[in-house]
Amino acid sequence: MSDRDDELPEELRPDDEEALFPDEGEMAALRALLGPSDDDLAAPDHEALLAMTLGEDVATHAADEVEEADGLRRALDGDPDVDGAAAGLAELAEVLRVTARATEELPATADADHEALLAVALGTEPEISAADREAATELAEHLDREPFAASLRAARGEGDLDVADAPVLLALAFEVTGGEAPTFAETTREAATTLADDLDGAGEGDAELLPWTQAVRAAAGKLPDLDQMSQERRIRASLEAEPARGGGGDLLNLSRVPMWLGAVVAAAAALVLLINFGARQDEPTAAMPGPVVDQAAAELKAPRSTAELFDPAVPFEAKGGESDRVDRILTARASDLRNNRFAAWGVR
Amino acid sequence: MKGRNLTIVALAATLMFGCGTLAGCGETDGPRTDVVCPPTSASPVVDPALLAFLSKAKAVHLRADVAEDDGKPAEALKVLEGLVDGPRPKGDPPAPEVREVLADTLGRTAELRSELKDYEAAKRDLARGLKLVPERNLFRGRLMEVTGVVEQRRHEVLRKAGDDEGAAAAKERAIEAFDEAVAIQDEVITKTLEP
Repeated sequence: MSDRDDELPEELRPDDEEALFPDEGEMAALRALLGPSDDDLAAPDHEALLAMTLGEDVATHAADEVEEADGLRRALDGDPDVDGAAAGLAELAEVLRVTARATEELPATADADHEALLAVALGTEPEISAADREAATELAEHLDREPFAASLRAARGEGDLDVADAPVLLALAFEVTGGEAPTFAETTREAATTLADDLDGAGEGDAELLPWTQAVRAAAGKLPDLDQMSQERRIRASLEAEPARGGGGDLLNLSRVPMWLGAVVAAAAALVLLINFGARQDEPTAAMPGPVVDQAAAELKAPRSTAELFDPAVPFEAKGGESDRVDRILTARASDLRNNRFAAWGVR
Repeated sequence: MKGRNLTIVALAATLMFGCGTLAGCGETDGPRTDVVCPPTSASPVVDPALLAFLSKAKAVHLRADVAEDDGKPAEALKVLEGLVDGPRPKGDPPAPEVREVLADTLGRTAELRSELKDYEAAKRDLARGLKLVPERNLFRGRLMEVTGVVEQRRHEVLRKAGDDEGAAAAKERAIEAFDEAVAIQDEVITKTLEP
């Protein structure tokens, strides 16, 4: 028994099997361990929980972020009133449970030249080396690998598993972040191991599950940077778009396209671009044609001037205030980065 | 063959109009605050490197605050130099956030150098900062105000030293800088009032 176990109420100690899914009183005790709040698990707690689970630092949050976090909390709790994109988070919670026990390792291609892989996947770089082509194929095969996809399918509730709940997710969050999970130590870990093993043995793979792989890998801490995330996501998108996975170069074979059809498409694209050229520049630009701006890229926050973060009526003092200004910039861009990670994972 | 030619013509038209449409979204040296472009697959996005730079900037400024509170401007200056001369996220030109934070930091180093009576070094920092923020925004306005402060201090020193001509020139430069700072501020306010 660890030192922290001594701090636990008797009913929450690891040997007690009933502690696996704690009741309200047990949750209060758990919260007492986690922080000073005596209230029910509040929205910021859940935001922090989500941040911990995803490997983010917990920073201060604006009111709209707290509100968003509250929505995420309800989504994670499986609130049936939550709709839209957030509704999928209950499934993500399941995925995160699996992540705690994920043992799958990506092949070495994860560190390969992703630009080259992207080119191969799109069939736009015929002079690509044989090694890169092989790497792209290997990556595609990995994404289709049966046990992993089967696990994800089960995680989406297509197996016999129970829906994840907040307490279990909370416990697993400790494991993901490398911290202690004293409350449910042995029993929950055993349950999680059993769960992961069950998932590994579940059914056939499913192409629809591919978008989840990024979220799982990210939650497992296997994603070094955002750029790579977005590139891999596009690779998968291109692979998903073509069921027959022969060589990467077959994905876009212009020789199969009738010339008149190519001409019509190109002319239509030119017309759209021409119309857009005359449109107001301050109108939303997300509707630009796919080859130029794909949906994933449109969801990502780009670097931009920070002037909007400051009241134009209050000029900067000649001396002082730099620390406050950079703090405001940092907070805003931390929020953008969080958004970008969600977008790259396909959560939103 | 006829169809192939048609395709080539259409693709050329696509490229021509496409390039024209997206011209406003390319990186530019001049101020272009009126065009908001979505990121493309080739565009930079807010990423961990940018956050790391901003985190470092915050820590550096807080550390400089401590040094200044202790009455050690030279120490604060040394800390800040670690930011303005240190590594930054890739990008040419740098991301707007990087440019603006660096410009703000250079304004601080200039102010500190002028406290230490190193007016020429202060002037170099300000020139460097102004180059980073060609946009007429709060950051550029602040650099112009610091320019005025630096010249005002130089004016006082020269006047006390009996260099009336030099003092008068410094005073003139201070007035010009303050006027420019006010003009920029007026523009910023006016822009916010535009429908």
